[in-house]
Amino acid sequence: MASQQNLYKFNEIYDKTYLDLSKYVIIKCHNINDTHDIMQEIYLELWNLLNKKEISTVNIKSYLIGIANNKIKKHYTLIQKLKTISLFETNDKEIEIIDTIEDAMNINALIIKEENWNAIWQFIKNKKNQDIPKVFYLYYKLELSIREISEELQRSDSYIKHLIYRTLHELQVHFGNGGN
Amino acid sequence: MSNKERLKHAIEQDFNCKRYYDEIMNQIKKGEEKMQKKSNLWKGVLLPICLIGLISSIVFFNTNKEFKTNVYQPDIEAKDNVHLYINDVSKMTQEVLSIDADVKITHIENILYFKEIAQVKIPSDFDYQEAHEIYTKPDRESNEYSVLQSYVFNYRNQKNDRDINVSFSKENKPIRDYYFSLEGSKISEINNIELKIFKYNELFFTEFNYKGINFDIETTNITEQELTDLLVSILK
Repeated sequence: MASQQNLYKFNEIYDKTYLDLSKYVIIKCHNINDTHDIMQEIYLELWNLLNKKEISTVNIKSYLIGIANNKIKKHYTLIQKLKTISLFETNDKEIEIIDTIEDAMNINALIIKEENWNAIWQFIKNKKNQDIPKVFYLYYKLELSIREISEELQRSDSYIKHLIYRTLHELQVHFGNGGN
Repeated sequence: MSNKERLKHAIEQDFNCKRYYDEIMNQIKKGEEKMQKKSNLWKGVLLPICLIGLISSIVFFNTNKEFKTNVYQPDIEAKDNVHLYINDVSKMTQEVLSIDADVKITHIENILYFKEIAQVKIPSDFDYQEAHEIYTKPDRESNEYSVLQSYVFNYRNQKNDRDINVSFSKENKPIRDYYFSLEGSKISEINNIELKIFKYNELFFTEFNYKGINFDIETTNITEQELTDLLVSILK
């Protein structure tokens, strides 16, 4: 049955592309909380296309990135972009150059209750400066290096380090010492 | 488990490949059930439709056009100088245009003619306000966003689920990244100034020229009365 074949194909593409596509959407979106909706829209469009025409899986990732670009563009009105614009200064000249904070960026040094980590991720996700959850996703989930993250986000290494350092410090203040 | 692993685990619980997949499958299933219901419906009415096909297709076309813009008068406090019509375009397909612009945060007081809009009446629960300058490129080849296109004031409540955005400029029509047909829309009037008000689901849009300033207003989740109070406070 065509529908069953399409389902196999869809599953294969989904498994093959999910991680790269979610990384792409997270990097490109204005608010990390929109990732879920945008991903859903992309794969629903893929499903509809599979039911309409034959799609080659050779360059499927590029094909889905093309769909992702359109979905991201359509997802945001100008006003939404304004709402989510970063208030944190991203001009590198304004940021203290931090080359010596590698040791201070040790998340394992934080004393935080185990059950608080879901709340911490929600706290990070809802930061006004949406570079913060993006950096945390790339650094702690995908385990990219600072250099790789700075290239992905087109920011300087010192900016990325500063965000991690500052946010870890904030986590210690808000959630640290085993408190709430 | 280390803190690093705990955070990774929390992120993975949130961005969960399997959960996303299940939700997508649910959406697909819902869509297919809907299509199936439609298909069954058409099977039952196919013959009668064929018989009256020529007439009903014309009526359907016209009816459908009317359906796109649903014009109604809002339920607001009556005033002699306020005659409003809401053009509800919620059923229309939305076109989205991309805009090439840069945004800078500014202070309301920096805008020369801010006094014209400083006294706008916003809902009492709107605690936050921000002002932005929108810059565009002087031409397509340029790399610099050096042309001040318009200003935007954003007012919103603490929960950030209700807001008002007032864009304005003396020199330009504020840019927007949505478009819908004005066909079939009805003009409103406040203090003898004409404007068109549109509704798209929980959003209201309106644009007008007042004292030489081009205004473009977009609101989210405010009532018709709050919209009227806002507009009357500008169009004095």
